[in-house]
This record gives sequence, structure tokens and C-alpha cells, in this order.
Amino acid sequence: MPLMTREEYIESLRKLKLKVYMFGELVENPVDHPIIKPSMNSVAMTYELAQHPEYEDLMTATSNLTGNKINRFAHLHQSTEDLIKKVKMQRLLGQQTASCFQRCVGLDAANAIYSTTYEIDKAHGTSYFENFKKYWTMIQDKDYTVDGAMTDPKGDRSKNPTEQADPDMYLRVVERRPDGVVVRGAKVHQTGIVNSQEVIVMPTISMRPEDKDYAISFAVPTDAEGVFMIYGRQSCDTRKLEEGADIDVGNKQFGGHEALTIFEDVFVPNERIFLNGETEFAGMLVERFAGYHRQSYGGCKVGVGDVLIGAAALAADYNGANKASHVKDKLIEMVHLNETLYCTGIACSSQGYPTEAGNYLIDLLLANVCKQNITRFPYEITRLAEDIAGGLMVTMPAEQDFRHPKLGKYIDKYLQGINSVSTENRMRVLRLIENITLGTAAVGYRTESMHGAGSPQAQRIMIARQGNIEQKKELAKKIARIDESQNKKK
Amino acid sequence: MVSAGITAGVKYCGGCNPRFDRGGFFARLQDRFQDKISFEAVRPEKRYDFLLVISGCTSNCADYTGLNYTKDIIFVTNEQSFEQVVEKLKEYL
Repeated sequence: MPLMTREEYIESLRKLKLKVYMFGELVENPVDHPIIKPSMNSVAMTYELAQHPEYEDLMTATSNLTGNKINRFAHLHQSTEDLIKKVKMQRLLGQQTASCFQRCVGLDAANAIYSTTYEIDKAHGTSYFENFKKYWTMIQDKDYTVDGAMTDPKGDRSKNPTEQADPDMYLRVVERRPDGVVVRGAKVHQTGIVNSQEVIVMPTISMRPEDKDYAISFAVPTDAEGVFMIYGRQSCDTRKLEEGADIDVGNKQFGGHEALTIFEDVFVPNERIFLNGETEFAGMLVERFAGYHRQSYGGCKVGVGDVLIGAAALAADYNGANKASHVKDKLIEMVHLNETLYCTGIACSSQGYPTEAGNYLIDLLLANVCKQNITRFPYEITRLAEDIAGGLMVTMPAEQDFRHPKLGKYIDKYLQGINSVSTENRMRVLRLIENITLGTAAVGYRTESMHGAGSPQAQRIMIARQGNIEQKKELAKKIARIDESQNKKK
Repeated sequence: MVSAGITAGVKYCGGCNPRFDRGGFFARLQDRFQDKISFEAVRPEKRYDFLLVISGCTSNCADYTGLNYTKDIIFVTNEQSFEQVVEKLKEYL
């Protein structure tokens, strides 16, 4: 069954025995929980669109492992064209959900692990590449959603894993057995894990020889013994619990989520281990995963940006400000910023290259430039959207007041914009802008743009490494006809 | 009801940022040739008289490798080409 339908995906989630906690309680049925369900709908869209002739060219690919038609979210990139189509697919999903659709993190983990395990095996004679190929063939055949878990809590940032007061601040091996290992630790802000059947764990930083127990990568089912999740709060999240909530949630159908995920002495069998103590390869795995994930943002955030730009334009239409030159100019600026982000996503993909394992890696410099822009431009797009939307976006009364038999008529009367548009529709578009800029979806569109796939400084370190300033100096010397033999000797 | 034997396989790009309504374009075309050409979403194992490749922008990134046709492949990348596509298809009727 290489391609699951939306319904089959949802049914497969129901079969999981996840341990998810929210507001201090175990969630009995995550699939139907009103706070979680919109995020599940976003992932379900990755299955739904793959079935549709108008979208399958982006949403599906041919597996290099089996030759089967698979969802592109499970594909190991075989060309720069595949890398480009990944970004296009992510923009499409962003447009369709106006949310984080969560499934790219597993895709990025898979591509990073595929190439890294090949090179570990070459250096150490291990069999991680075969382990991973078998594992990922299973994922492709079952069309599972996979969470990619990288970020450890990290405790005191000035200390290495082995120097932490609490040794569990980085996920580690606590017991080695003939048939596998036992791990303990946590991964923070795990996007989409409640909607995933599997989780792949990776180290979060480069390791030194003494960090051997921390250099561990593996996969387990999300309902494996010892794994549990504590659901992350989002701004305005409990609006989803209000009876009949619709207008006020801004985006009723879709959303994203993160969770603090605990691994409390979880057993991992040998065949699901992809790195185990080869500390010198932890950095390669982190760098490749981060590179792919920084590329991802050049697609997904752009798609959400498309919706936000559209919403801002509608807000201007609805209050009659659409012909004002400054409004037109702000919309142009938003498009310019959004398409600039897309340019970098496409650029780092088109300049990709094959790894030793055969799958394609993005251009790391351009991917880091892409993500660095992502840490800035969505904030400016957001600022412009709020500018155009006006203060009503955050001051208008609740939906219950609008539905109230006495109060509703006053809201309808005084919040009317142009006559041809209903007050309700005006409220809807303003709530959508609120949702993306400072509500539940702002987690994905703003703060995740800042810190997801690495905080801004992480990209600047990579840009410094890859930027080749020395070569640029040589260029300048040549053009300026600098003769260094004339320089004074020290 | 299509009575003619002319077949056309329809292949879309993935629609990441289409500059026009690809589905709407096809619906209009289908309406124009409803009793003359049998359109369907392309299947790799089938051979068609025509391939109609509808892309949402000029990058025309729809992957049509391995798809089979005998007469012609027609590319659509903008809304304005509608009448041109109609004329081209008419030539083969």
C-alpha cells in the first residue's frame, strides 16, 4: 500500500497507543481532540493531495528503493529536480493549510541519515546503511508519517553533554545489550509527533570522542514503551475548545503542533540503530539534516505567506482601502519578500549535488542563506499584514457576541466595512490574519521561522564556514591590481 | 457522451503557485470538445492520441516522461492560450 488515502491515514493513527498529555491529563483520543485535530488535518492533506491528478506531480515520486510510486514526503531525492519539487510541494501545502503540515521533518531526517549512514559504514564497516534502507522501505511501503527528533533540552549551553549537571540533558544510551540499546532523554518542540506513526532520533550537535553514549541515532514507533509526549501550548489554543468555535479560531480546519517528547528508558533493537558511538559522524548528520530543513522553509513558509498576503489584500478590499497607493505598495512589498524567500529555496535546490550514497543534498551555503532570510522576512510580512488589517484584528468582540440576539446587531452594524461585504466575512479574514500573526499559527509562521531548523546564529556560523571570504579577497586584489610584494614586511 | 475515438491524456504540474486556474482551463476545454475527444487523467500504461500537459506557470515543470502518445503533445502554461489549444486540437479532428 504505497499510497494511503486520507481516511486510511487517520485510521492508522487511531490504532496507535500514544501517551499524550495535555493540561495535566492523558488524552484519551488524540485524533478527535479539538486542539489536536486541526494539526492532524494538515498532515492528512499530504495524503489527500497525493491522490489528486492536479497535484500528484509534486506530491508523488518513484522510489529508488522499490520502484513504487510513493508520497514525496517519503522520497530519497534522486536529482536536483526532486529537490526543487520538494520545495514546490511544501509551498503548495502551505497554501492549502496556512499551517505547518509537519511531515517534512521526517523527510529531511531520512535524506540526511541515508547519506550519512553510507559514509559511516564505509569508514567503520558497520551496517547502518542497510538498517536504514530496510527501515525506510517499510516507511515508504506503509506510507507512514515520521517525526524527526533532533533538539535536546541542552541544559547549560556552555557545557558539553558529558559536562551537564544532569546527564539526561542530551538523549543518551544508558544500557547496551546484545540485541540493542536502552536510551533515556528528551527531545523538545517535536513538530507533528502526535500525528506520526514513527520517530527518528538524531543527535543535536557535533560530538567529541568522550560523548560516545550521546552519539546515537535510531527509530522507534511513537507508541513504543517508555515514549510519551507533553503537548505544547500555543497562543489562543483554548479558543478551539469554545462551543461552536469557528470565526474566532481564524483557521478552523488546519493547524500545527509541537510536543515535549520524553524517552524514559526506551529499548531500541539493533536493526533500528543508524549511529551508535561513531562520534565523528554526529556533526555530518546534524549539518545535513539542518541543511535540508533550512531548504524546507523556503517552501512551507512561502505557502503560508501566500495565504497571509491574500488575507491582507482581502482585508483592504473589505474596508475600502484597497485603492490607496500605500496599501498597494505594501502588498507589493509582501509579495517581493515572499518570492525572495522562494528564490532561495529553489536556488539551494537547483545547486544540489549527489552524495556518495546517491541521494541529492542541497547547496549548504544557499540553504543557510535561505533560512537566514526566513528568520526575518516573515516578521516583516507579518508587520505589513497587521498594518493593512488595522487594530480591529485584535480588538473586535468575540464570536459569541456576534451571535448574541441583543449584541449581534450592533456588531454587525458598526463593524461593517464596504456595503457589499458582510460583517461576518470581514471578521473572518481579520481572525485569519490574527491566527497567522499572533494566534496558534504564529508558532509556525513566526517563532518557528526564527528558531526552527536552527536559530539565526546557527546559520551565520554555516555561512561563515561556507562563504569563502578568502576567495573574495583574491578577486578584489586582482581587480584592484594589488601587488603584495610591495607590502611592508612585519 | 463521447462518441469519437480520439483520446487525450491530461497531465497537470503539481500546482505550487499556479498563475491561472488549471482545473478551470481543462473544464472549459473538455466542454468545448465534449463529443469529440475523450479526456482522462493520464495513466502511464495507456497510449493516447494526445497528451495535454497543463502547467500553472511558464516553468512547465510537469513530468511527462514515460507517458505515451501517438499524435501530439500540447503544453498549456497560461490562460491566454486557450483558443490556440482549441485550434490545435481541431486540426486533428
